[in-house]
Amino acid sequence: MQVARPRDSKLKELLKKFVCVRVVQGNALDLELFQFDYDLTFAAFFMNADRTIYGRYGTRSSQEKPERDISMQGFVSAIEGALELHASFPENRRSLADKQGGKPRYPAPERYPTLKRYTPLLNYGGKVAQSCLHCHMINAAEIELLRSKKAPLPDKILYPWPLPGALGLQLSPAERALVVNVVPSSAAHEAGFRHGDRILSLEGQPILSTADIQWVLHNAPAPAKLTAVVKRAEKTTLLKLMLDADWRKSSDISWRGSTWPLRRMGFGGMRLKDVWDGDRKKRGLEGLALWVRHVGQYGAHRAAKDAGFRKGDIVIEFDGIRERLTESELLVHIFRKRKAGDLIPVKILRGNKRMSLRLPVR
Amino acid sequence: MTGKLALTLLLSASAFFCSGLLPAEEKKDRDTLVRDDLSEMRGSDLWIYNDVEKGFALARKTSKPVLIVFR
Repeated sequence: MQVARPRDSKLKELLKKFVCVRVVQGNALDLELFQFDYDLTFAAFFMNADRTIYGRYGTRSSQEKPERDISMQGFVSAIEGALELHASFPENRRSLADKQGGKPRYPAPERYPTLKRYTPLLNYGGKVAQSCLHCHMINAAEIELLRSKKAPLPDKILYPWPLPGALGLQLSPAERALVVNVVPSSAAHEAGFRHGDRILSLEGQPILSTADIQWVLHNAPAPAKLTAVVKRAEKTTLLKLMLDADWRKSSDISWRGSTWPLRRMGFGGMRLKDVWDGDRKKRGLEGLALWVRHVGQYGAHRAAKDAGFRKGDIVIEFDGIRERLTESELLVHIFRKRKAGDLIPVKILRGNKRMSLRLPVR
Repeated sequence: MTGKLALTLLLSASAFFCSGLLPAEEKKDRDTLVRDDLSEMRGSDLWIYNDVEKGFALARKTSKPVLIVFR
């Protein structure tokens, strides 16, 4: 492993400037101190010995292409930034205060009702892998808990850790918060962001990585006004981001491990994917067209199977919705508009045959 | 080493504890992988294995910052 057993001499020298700790379990995780995107496979914290957080590293936007979001160069750049913050500590303490999250519902994951079978220590003498509580289970446990209490799922749960793309920003994975694209007419574009800007701070917090931006966004309200300071041509510029009430809506949650319980509750265990443009043209499809890629076969994941859905079906109308939506948007619709026990009318295409089915919400 | 190769190594080795998303073949040996990883990390002069408090204590003594990696 490149980080744990560094071969890159620069990385090796940088790591020697830190006390390095490797954590391989979610069991007994201090949920007040370590708040990060629990759907990641790699995440890092840069901290002071007094537990002040300098920054986070680790971002993901899909299952398949990690190089889109993280890189060794980007990690090294974040490490260098953390060392700069450490050198300026404690004078910069105030600017770092909001990098710490609030008090969580439970101090440790195994306190959640659905995770009580896990113990704080791994069972190295027995089935050690089975004894490990995976980080993505934490989000899933929170979803399960809220749903069991018939409580609404807030946007922070439905759309966790929004990427800068939600603002219309694309950042380089190889640099420290360097803007490489601004989507026309987006919130970032309206705020005045430009290609080549380096984001120095957001809401007063120093930014070492995309994960640091996600932290600010994760905790931002809706609507929101956020202040960014960027470096542009050796000058610093202050920009104001205005985010509307639905600014998180473009986030893609389909890749997240913690989305599976949402699929079980909302889609009866189905995984859906937007039919690509070429196939739409061939089949004469417009508007909603979601291909059923997977139908759960067992337990609570087989509700769609029992309702008559099959892999390969194409959903063309869902709860009266006919316009083109992604799987993520449709899931959010269910959890905002429907409650457990509702039966959702769904129209599908199976081959050339149109069919009507009813999908139970859990 | 190219950036892409380094990234692949960064993400591929050892057990993906935080995700639980492992190819089926690796799942067969997962217990062994975890124990091997523990043995190897115990011999590391750079990494403290699975002990955050030990890390903070050492950072206080050395005035170094702390890097905590979850994977």
